[in-house]
Amino acid sequence: MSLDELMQAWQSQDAAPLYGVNETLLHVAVLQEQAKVRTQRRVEGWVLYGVTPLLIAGLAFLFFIMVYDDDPRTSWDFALPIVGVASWLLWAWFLYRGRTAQAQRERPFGASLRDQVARHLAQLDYQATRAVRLANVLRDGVPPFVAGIAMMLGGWRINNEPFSTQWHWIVGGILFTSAVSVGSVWLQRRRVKRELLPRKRRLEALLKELDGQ
Amino acid sequence: MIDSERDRIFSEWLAGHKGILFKVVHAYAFEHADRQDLFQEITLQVWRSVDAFRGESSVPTWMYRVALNTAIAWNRKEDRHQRGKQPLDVVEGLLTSASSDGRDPRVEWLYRQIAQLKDVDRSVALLLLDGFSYKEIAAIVGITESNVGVKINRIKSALAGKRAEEAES
Repeated sequence: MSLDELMQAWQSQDAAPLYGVNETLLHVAVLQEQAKVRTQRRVEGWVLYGVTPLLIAGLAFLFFIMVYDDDPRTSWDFALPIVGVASWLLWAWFLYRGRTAQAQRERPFGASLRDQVARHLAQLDYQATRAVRLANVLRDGVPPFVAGIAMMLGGWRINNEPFSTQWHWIVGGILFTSAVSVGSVWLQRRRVKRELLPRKRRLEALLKELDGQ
Repeated sequence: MIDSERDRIFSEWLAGHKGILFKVVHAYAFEHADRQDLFQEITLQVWRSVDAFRGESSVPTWMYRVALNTAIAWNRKEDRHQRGKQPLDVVEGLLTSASSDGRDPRVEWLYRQIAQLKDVDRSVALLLLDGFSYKEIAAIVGITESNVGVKINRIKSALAGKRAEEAES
């Protein structure tokens, strides 16, 4: 049995396929995928174009109330919304820079299987580095944390409520924001350890196999 | 690209070349549920890839590229199976068994041999058997033509060795 004969036998599958496809179910699966893609785009769009203007508008509103109401204000009061907006914009800039740099790193890879594996590895490296390196964790986590705290303190200051009656909201808010930040870092690190690193090792082995090592 | 246009192109590709997807599914997944899962994953990746297709390669080459890449990456789901969890969103019954009457027994023999190869060699074997040139295989897999030659020689030797072994017994 020569290779040509084997190839001929192999290609006979084209005339008598191994399976049939349930077209109705496939259509349902494609519709589900379409819905998933749309939802994903909607969420990304909402975060990018919805949350940032809303947060900036909220902090700007606080700032203008502080400027135009008749209550006595300190420089610290005015600093709160400014620091909040600056922190959020800094975070958005880091995010933009990180994505741009990552897109540049991925650009040299083409469409071949080897390039797809290499691209996937670059993506995993990016995700793992963001979640594990302390400087990256702080860069991703601290600015939104500061923006959230600034908004909360600013809201407290414009209401002119004494600290003695509002302390539980303020302290509770700070503790809650801290817990959410620490929790999300912990979850990301756990995901890196359990999912990304084993996948990375497997892709590295595949790359070695592709390179014939 | 609007969804209806993408769906039309996807349907044309599937009608013309679904055999490629069946071969990849059969070579990379061995249980019924896994084959359903992998087939769904590959078809959805092909559907997603319609936008990225620029016509620089033929449709079968493109579909092979997407299907092989998906099949190899699918191992992460395999890991999920091993942890005892069910695959998500599997459309059970998507892939229906066709009659095996009159099918060449050499095809099943080939699948058994292919299943014993490493991931990358398996891809090369599928492309070789479907008549792709060394140059095309190198472009799809992303390795040099000489490396393709080495892998093909290894695959041919493995097939010949197996045939000889079975002839003796």
